[in-house]
Amino acid sequence: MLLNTIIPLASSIISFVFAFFVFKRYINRKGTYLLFWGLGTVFYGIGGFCEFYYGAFGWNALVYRLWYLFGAILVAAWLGQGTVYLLAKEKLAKALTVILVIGSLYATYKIFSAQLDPSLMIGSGHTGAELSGHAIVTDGVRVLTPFFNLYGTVALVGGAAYSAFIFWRKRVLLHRAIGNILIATGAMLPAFGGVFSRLQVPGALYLGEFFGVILLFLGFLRATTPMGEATTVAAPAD
Amino acid sequence: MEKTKSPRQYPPLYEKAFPVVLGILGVVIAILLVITVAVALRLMGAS
Repeated sequence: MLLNTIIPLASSIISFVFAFFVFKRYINRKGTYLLFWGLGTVFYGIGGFCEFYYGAFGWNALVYRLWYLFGAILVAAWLGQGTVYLLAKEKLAKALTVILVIGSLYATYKIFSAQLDPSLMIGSGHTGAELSGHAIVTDGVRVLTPFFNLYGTVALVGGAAYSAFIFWRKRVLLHRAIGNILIATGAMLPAFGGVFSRLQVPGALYLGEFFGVILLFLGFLRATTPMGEATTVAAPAD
Repeated sequence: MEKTKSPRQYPPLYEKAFPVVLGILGVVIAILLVITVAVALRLMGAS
């Protein structure tokens, strides 16, 4: 009960609070990357809410489709697109945005036209207590997921880890170095949750998402809150 | 060619921790990518 309702509900609430902070910063500072991160965190929240709904009230085809679209396919890619805007050249970021938007529209069409069978979520070691992609009967839908997630993982986790490395190498902006490590770690947790879920570890996906969004949020707050000059000191002469 | 050392340093704890954390992060990212590619190639079930 706790694992399938309270945990995803908590993930969802944290995600929406997180989104509020990101959009607030976007309004104050602009920056397309903040817009994508804000949208990504909203998607995260929608995914968590759908998991909560399923755990609390049972099967609903619309809720399932929303979960698969936002929670399983789009969230990582759209968060990652924010990082692409932050690190890549604008021309490249815009070109990748066009591809992402077209891909997202195609995924939306495929998911909302797919045939579903919730009974398929039970079996192969799955109890049906948690949402999984097995309910999708139509071919060509689930195969989309890893491509979006590969792109999102490379962009979000790789971008955060790369940023942390650059800050560390230059020994500047300690708060951003720490924040980016938290973001990279947090972004990996849902992915590993998904892996362990496939390996039939109960609750792995929901717990991965829960701890993931907490670390992402803490990372964002840490990266956007300077620690002061005292934390970076001059190196002693050799 | 001699490497130039950064004129600044983080506090000692972070100086020690960062290389370790970044190394672990790199290894974990590599593992995650391998798994994601495996899923894409349908070696593991897609979610």
